[in-house]
Amino acid sequence: MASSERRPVSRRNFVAKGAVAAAAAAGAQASTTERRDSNIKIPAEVPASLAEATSLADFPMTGAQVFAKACKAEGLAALFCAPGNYTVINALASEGVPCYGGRTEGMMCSAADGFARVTAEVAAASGTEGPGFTNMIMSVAAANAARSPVLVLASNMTVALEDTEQAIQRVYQQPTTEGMRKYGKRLINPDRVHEYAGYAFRQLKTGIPRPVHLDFPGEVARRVFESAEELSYFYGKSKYRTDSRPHPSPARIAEAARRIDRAERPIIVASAGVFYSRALDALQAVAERGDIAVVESGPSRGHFGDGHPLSASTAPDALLSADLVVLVGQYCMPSVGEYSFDPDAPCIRIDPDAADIGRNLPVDLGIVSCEKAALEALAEELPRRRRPAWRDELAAARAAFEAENDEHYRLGLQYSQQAGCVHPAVIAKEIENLLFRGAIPKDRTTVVSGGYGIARYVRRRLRAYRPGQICNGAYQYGAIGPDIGYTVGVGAAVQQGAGPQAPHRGAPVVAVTGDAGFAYSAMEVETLSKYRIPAIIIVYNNNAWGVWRSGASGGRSGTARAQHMYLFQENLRYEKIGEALGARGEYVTRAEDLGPVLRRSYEAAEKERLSTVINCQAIKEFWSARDYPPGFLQKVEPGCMAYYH
Amino acid sequence: MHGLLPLTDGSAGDSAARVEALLRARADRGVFRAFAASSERGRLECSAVWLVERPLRILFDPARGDLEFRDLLPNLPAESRLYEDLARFLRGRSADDLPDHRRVDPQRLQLRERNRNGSVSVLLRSLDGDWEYCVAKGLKLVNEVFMGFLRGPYHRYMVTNFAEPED
Repeated sequence: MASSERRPVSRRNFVAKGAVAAAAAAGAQASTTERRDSNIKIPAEVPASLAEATSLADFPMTGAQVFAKACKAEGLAALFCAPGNYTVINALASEGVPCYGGRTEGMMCSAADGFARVTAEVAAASGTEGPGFTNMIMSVAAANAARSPVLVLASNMTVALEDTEQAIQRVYQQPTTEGMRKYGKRLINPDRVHEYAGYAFRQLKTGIPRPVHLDFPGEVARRVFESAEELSYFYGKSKYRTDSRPHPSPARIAEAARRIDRAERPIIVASAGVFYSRALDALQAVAERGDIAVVESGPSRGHFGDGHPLSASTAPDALLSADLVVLVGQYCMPSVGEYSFDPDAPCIRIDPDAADIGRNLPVDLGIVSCEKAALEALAEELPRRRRPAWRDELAAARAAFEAENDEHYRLGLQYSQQAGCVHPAVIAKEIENLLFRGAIPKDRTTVVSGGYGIARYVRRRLRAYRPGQICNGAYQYGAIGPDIGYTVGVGAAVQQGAGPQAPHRGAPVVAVTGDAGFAYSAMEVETLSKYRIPAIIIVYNNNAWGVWRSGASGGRSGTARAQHMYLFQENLRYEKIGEALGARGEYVTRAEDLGPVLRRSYEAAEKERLSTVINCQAIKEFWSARDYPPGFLQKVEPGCMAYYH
Repeated sequence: MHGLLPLTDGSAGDSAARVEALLRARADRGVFRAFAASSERGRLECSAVWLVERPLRILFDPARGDLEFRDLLPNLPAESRLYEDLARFLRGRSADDLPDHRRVDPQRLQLRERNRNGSVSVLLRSLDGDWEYCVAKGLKLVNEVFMGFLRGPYHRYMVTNFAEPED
């Protein structure tokens, strides 16, 4: 029921309304809440500031300005930050790098990660020294595991007062990011600031991407340079790095082509390196030339469209039939027993880093190369071949998977009726209906696929029809909290039309998260609202941490006394948090209401650029295979269910 | 029940050596992360670390032609639904509609499971003495149990018994 109340939110009435709503929740139906709080408004300075012309610096310039110019010249696609590191973020804004200011440094770092994952472009995150920087750590680690080219920037007091505790916020930053970055440097020599920008982009734009962390003491950021002579190594990017890429050995490509030709059921695992090397056309050419199946893995999806008859991303049972596996750009390597392939299927691995080939998974033929170069060479070398039986098997496996999903949905509807709330299989199906089976073009909407247990249902229904269509939130590092942070970055990428998002510029984005995850990043709904980045955020609310069974009696180590630590209050109203932060709120307790709620939320996003938080009420017991089979779902990797690798 | 099979591949000792070589080849390829083999009174006993941390025990009795994956799945009471599903899954591996590369040919291999006090072993008896087929199908079968069958609604079982990550 829509509310027409129009009064400002005070903490008291916000809490009071929430309490009443929680008490009434069990009997509630779908409730829509309009943006009733007229006091919430975007200050005029925000659009005015965003409309300001760029102001390109020239000598005399500060170190921050020199650095910002280098970033601009390198095409830094976006900066996400919370205030701090002022000279650097202000200089980047002046130079015209698209900038976004959010509520925490950590989530802004996740936003940069999300942006990179769906665009393959370099994005930056920035925070203040000390607490701002350390707030980013989880997100830096997640970006590192995802191999995202994220430039992590932070101020860091002064070199002059190093080792003192004068004033506040002092910390040695670089040791903190060791092990979760590709390169890091505390800049201590002001006249080398441009040189170190080159160090950073050389790392970010070559080989296998991972975060780069630079920290800026005041002596560097604030130093004023009167002319170029005061800077060392002050020259353009064509001199400090190369766009040249390693090319494959012709003999190895010929051997790979022979092996593929001999195989009956070859499969390519197309992962992050295919996306970052822009090898999408080459991948398709190879697949179609040899009738080779393609299954995706990685922190984003869409390198090979799910609609292609050779796609195995939604054909998990076919993976076990493959008799040759070709891993391309699989940066985050699974170990034996993690990918569902036949143990006797030989493995070819194409990767730019020779030192990584053979790690975790035994390899029968290694090819050191840029993925794009190797796939182009393979497309030339590979004999044309048709494999109709393999195509048929793929189609049958896809159909079997869909049938399994439909059975989950049938049960989900039944359970929703029984329990008086919304089963995750219903949520997954309704999202699929909205995005891929209705009036919205199937390739239009970019999705942040997050959450924990809910993700295991939703991933099975999400489809990617073009590159960067799905940001795989929890990928590898398993951080389920940053989902709204990722949504800011992904939404910004779509609003800008960055990289492969260009044809879909301005479209809404959809995010899926859980009640546990939402808590970590919910404040970023305010950032979405402030920048009018339209997102439909679906919060699966099962009143508990997804792992609640771990604390229950009968679990591996659970005890009755532990259970309380895994539970929340029931029927919490997360949509009201959305409302309070400038978004719309929807509360759904019946399966049949979700479809209409999703459609009107999408419409509000498209027409009014308003975000919506949809609170889908469920119960924790849905994860019980005994009470609500199939309960918590297992997954098969690689493919649409994958998130470990 | 079939009796002792006519060995077409030479003596029992030759058969055991052949099976060991076939398994060791998988270790050499890196399929097994660790592998050890010993024999006693003509029977071969191997230990392989493969899909899970718990070592896989592979026994071969050349006299009977039995390749056994001993105690493959622990803590699985005979009356449990999971065990029932497993038995159905194993029977289904010989279904006519499966493609040859996924099917266990019942004319060549007799497949059965055994539950002793909740500890489940899987046995393949070769009916034609083709040890390459037997070993390859046995390993594929174990692989499908873990990579396919147990990827069904058995998350808690994997968490509890094989230390699969909760997340």
